[in-house]
Amino acid sequence: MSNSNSSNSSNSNPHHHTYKKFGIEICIEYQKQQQQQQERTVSINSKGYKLSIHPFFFKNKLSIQLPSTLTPGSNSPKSSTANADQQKYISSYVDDAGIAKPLNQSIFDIFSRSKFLSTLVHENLVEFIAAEPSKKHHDQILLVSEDYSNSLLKVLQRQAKTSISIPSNTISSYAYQILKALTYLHSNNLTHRNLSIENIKFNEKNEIKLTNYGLYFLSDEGENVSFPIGNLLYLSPESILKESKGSSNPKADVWALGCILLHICLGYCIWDDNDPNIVTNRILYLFGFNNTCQTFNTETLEFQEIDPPEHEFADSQYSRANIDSFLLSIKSKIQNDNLFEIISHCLTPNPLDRPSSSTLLDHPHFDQFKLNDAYKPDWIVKPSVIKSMDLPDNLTDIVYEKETRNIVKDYDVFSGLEVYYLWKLMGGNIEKELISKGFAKPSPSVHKLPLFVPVKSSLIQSGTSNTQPIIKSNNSILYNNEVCIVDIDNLFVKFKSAFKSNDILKSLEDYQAGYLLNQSKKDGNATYKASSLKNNVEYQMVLIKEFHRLLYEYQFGDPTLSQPKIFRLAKSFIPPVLRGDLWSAILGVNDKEAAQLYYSINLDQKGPNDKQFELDIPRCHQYHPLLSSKQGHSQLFRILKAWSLLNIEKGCYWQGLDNVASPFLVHHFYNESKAFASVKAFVDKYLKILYVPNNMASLSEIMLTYQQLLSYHDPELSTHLLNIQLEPDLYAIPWFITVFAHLLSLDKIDILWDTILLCPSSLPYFIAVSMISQFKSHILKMNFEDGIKIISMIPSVDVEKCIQDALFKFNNTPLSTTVNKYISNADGDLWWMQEKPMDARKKELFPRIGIHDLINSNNSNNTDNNGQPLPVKIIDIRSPSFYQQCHYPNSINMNPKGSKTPTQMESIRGHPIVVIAPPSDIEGIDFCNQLVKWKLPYVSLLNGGMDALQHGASTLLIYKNQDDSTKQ
Amino acid sequence: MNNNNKIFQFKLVLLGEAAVGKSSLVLRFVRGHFLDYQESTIGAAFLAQTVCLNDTTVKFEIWDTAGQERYHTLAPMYYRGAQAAIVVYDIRSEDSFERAIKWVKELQRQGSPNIVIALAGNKLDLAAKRKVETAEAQQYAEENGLLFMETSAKTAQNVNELFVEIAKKLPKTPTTRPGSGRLPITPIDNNAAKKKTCCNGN
Repeated sequence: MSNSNSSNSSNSNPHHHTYKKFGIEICIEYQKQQQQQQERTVSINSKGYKLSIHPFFFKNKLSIQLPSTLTPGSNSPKSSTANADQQKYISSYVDDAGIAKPLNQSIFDIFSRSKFLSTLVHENLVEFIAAEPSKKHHDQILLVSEDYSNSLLKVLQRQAKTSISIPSNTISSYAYQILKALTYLHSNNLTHRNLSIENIKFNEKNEIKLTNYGLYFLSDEGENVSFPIGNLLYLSPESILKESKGSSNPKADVWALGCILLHICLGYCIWDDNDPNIVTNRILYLFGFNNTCQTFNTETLEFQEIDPPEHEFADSQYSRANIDSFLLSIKSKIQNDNLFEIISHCLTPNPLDRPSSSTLLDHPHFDQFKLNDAYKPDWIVKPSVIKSMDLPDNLTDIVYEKETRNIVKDYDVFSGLEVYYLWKLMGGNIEKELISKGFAKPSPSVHKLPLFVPVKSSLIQSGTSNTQPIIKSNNSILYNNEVCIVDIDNLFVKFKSAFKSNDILKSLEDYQAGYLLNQSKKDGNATYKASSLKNNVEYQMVLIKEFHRLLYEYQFGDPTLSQPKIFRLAKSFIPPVLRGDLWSAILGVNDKEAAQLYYSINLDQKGPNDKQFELDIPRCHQYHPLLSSKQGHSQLFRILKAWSLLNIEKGCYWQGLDNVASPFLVHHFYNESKAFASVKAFVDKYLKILYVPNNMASLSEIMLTYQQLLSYHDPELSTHLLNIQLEPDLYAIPWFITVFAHLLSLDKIDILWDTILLCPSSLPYFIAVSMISQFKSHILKMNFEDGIKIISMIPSVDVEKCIQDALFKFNNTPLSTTVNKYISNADGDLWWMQEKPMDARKKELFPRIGIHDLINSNNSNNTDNNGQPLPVKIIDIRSPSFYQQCHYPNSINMNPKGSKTPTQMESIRGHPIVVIAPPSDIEGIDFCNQLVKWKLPYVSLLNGGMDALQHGASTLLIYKNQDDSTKQ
Repeated sequence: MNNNNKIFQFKLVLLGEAAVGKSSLVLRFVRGHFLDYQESTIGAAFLAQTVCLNDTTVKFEIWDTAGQERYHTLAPMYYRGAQAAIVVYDIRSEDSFERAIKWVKELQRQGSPNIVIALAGNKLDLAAKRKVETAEAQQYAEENGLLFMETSAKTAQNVNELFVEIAKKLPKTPTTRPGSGRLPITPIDNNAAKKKTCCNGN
């Protein structure tokens, strides 16, 4: 189909090797061998880039709530098309799970379709950035997209004034670029249906950018809007004739292109008229209808009105006769024969005979453009698929394009979505923008009622002045092509200052170095920095650019080199616009392998959990527009099904996986393979032991570890919970079985997982401890029932505070507390490593630690409120004689049954306490439990006591007689 | 002994297939509201609500369990020690009714002796799509000594009535006190009763 003969790969377009292909290009130049402090030259190539906001009203069909008693038919919603229309007006749409859809279902579906538009990337399309709900009107969506002020309309207007015609070569180049964009759209099963001279934009490099291509698709082929989509002048005859849904296919765009090319060549649209009926009739005449009272005079080159024919003509549609004579008469006006041929192909009346956009693109006339096309002709395929094919040979050569005199040129491209994100970060607000530019006209909200019927003015005698706004409010039902253009020049200033020097990047690297290390707790700045990063535009620009570089390397270079770098940098902050890609990279997901695996799974076969999925998906995070949309449901279904088919032998579906998969689906909407691969990697890392047929043992183990860590950090809360018999199994199972995805809302999951993904897999324990600790003051006053009510409020937890607290706790907890210390078939000499029954272990309120943590505990730096260090206290409760024979340095010998009271132990409150007990363990367990009940924090028992030390660290011990020990 | 204004506390558990409306019934009863999209229950959820009879107050400690068959292993932990159970099915699904029958059998076999079991055919608001006939369920309930009602958590029909009927049927002995039913996660644990921690919380 496409001419892929242009194999020359060394092209002048640096952004071919950037992570994002199109958007605002920046270039940073600096001298390679000079000091870091030098000024850098930052140039921005925006090509006139602007943001536009298109306030778009959709038809609120699902409007009125009929009482269910009145509509027995509503119980069979999936019936045939006969009463389909009626169905749409019944709001309480009930699906098979017996769950009513909300009134705003159609708006949710529009949102989810808009996500598909966001996946489109093409050099001749403006980027569709976002669909945002309007806060003013319930039936309005604000469409944000890339835009340019120059359009074909303006070009033609200027040309009309100067009367210099556009050279045919330029017109052909326009045709080529429009065809490229249309072919790309059509290959994605999209019909533009709205091609017009206003919707063909030019950037400052005079490259064509089609806009408004998503309206027909977004509105479900016009179903969800009350106005006809498309400019009548360029509407294809078949679209005019059949007004029903689905009547327009991609061939309609080809007709429109023919009309537009003709318009450019002639300088006007030959069948234009003030009366739309006349226009319609003229188009139908060209289509082959002879009874439309319109005919074309080939002498005057104008349409003429004629009398209706006396007798009915035979149905002559699809006949080329009229169009051919029309074209022949104007042929002299079109200089280029090839161009004429293309126009005449486009204006083929029968859509079946009309060539497709890709066929037209193969016309030899376009070969000249293909050869010089900076964008390689791989636009036929979606970019996600072709990315892997243009793998550069040597990455460093491209990322840092070396030039003479040691000048380094570092290129990057910020996509429209990123630009929009940064613009909002700088305080940009589309609603305010609309008001300030006069787009949001105030109207009483009553006029927006779904079934509002304006009363004719003649019926209202008293209030003539009232009629005006009523009529005005009906503007919403007319198609309005007007968009609000937003200048983003102030963003460019920020870009320049952000990249002026290397300082910001350096400070980011400094910051991440202290993230999980012990310094962070001494340094109170850590929290402060994280929150300042979140709102600092310049930092985020630098961060995004650096992530672009790393993600590009991750995708096309050696992932084992770039992944650790991504990991480290992500610890400073994960910009929400790159969250999905960064999460996947952190989880080690490879796009190509993901697609191969996902598409190798046969989803057509019946799966073991299909029925369960159908029950669970329609109630999983349904407050989220994407997850409650039809497309969201079907994508989640396929992802879960693929996972369960892949894990049919070892793993199995537990309710809760739907919650776990949801955040990944939201971040990779319409990219199922990547969402699937991310879910799979996430489950493998955090949930593998739980998503198996029998997870009781693992679940008990997790509950116990959580309980013990809670005692370690907050013995007061932990003992209270035990006293009121509010055990972890009663509330914490869903936390751990979904890594909090069942507990929290999606926005909180995002923030929490940003951290969890970057930390050891034991972090969820500390999150859980911090979470419940936030409600400590309430819980302490409560009995069982009220306590559990407080726990049900945990979804309102302050996640950021919780993360800071959990990281602090993580840093102050010996690593071995969360590690399984028991091995099956342990040697008899290693009695402390032999498995103990769960019942027995449940009696231990404290964690056990290994000897390595004791040895390293000297470096531990717990501090009191004044920052004074609280060194670890080692309490040896063996008999004094054993203690004298051999003990650990700095340990204190203590008789566990002695007269110690809570007040006497107060002196060591706040210090980590490690207990070394006699081999029987019983005394150690009792002693440690007693300390916990006295509400002393940081109590742990050395697993194996002195035996373990003698086995693994005998050289560190102090013996009664050093000579004796050497002899032994 | 005078029973006036006596408060009795009972542990009640909800069992039944996934998505039949267990959580919705509880939320309707306890909080008086209904959500179109009730998230699936994982593990179990706990809520409490009181019912006033003529001369007594009955306080229900309600354990709402997960419906997915996989979570079955956890169920004994929640129904052990329960004095009452509501077994729920969806009147539009024969499978869910059959599952309910299995739950009843399991409770009769392994639940507390003298447990009061109620069978609830939920989603009565969707009666047009009914697959389980009232008579059929009624007959089964009578044969097995169960309370029976068809309910709608969405319209609140018969929800309070169901709990009141259960409250009436429960024996009002002064010693009634739940608590021993909350057991550790180990599936079969005969020593659990001995394992009571100091129970002086107030």
